[in-house]
Amino acid sequence: MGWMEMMDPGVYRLLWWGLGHHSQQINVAAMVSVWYFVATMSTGAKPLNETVCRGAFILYILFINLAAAHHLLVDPGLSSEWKIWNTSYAMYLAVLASMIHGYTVPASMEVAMRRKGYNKGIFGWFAKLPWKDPGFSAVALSAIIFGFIGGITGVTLGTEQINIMAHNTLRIPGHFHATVVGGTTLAFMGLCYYLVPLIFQKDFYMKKLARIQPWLFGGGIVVMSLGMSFAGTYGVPREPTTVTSAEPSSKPVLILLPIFFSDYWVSAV
Amino acid sequence: VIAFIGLLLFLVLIVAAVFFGPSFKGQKMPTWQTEQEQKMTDDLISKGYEEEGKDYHVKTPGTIALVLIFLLSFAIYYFANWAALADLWHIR
Repeated sequence: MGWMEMMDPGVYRLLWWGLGHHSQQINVAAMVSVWYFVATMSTGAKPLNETVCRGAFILYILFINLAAAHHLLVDPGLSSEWKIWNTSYAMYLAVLASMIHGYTVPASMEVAMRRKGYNKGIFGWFAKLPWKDPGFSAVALSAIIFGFIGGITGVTLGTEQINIMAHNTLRIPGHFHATVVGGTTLAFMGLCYYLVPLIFQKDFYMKKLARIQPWLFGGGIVVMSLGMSFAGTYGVPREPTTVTSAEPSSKPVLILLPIFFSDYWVSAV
Repeated sequence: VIAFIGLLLFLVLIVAAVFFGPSFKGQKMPTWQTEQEQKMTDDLISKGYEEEGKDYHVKTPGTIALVLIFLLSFAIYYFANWAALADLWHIR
């Protein structure tokens, strides 16, 4: 429109990710709310400490904006000090929020299950959780995939030095498929198993198939996410169109790419 | 492919329930759990914090064990990445 003499790509990227990353965090906050809701509905769990849980949501609001800097780790216009401050000390306070929720949700379920009398050993309560309830199993898998795959890869990839190896490789989509699809989408699928009867007052058909649905979807996402992460470790680039420029050592992994990319349609739908 | 089948199955289940599912208007909402399990869950939900009082204990050894497994997984992955970085960037 001619308003600016020159567009600075560095400023553009800063604004883009400054707004973009915490729009993702809205999904994360909603997903965590679904965890608490379904934990209560399926097991009778109550948050161990409501103040701490609410405080964790405030940590998201305060610090996730700074964490947007992890998208800019290879940008030349920003200093190392700026990147390290925003992606380590500051970002970890947002990660702390997820870790608080990651503890309090299963812990509240453990307390509820033990109160029901499932006290055998350390994991007796865990085995007795309502795994046949698709709403519960979807949310449990969501928390496991989000934490163990999405969380661990996310914090590691957000480290400036390690990001140099991983930037623009298939490891990045491997990470966010675990958080967005395996975490958020699966949690909302689980929520639907409670919302549909509550809103429409109608029951489900094919309940046996409903029981395996979260395992199919969650299992598929785990395979895809880990596949992408391993492929990225071999140097497979993030953009499929540039795949011919990959390292020769990655060639065996490229055979698996059609399988990984077929799952892109899942996200698209 | 597995995830795609899971997604299709989800869509079929939800659409079938919303448009053609058997109505339970005026009756108790169907549950995925046994009646006994659901009763115990309902009892826990209906109790307030005040009512539970000092009996509300928060010993969570199972969750602590899960947290330790998580931290160990994180440490292995994180330091394996630093080792890989050290292989690529030789410090002279």
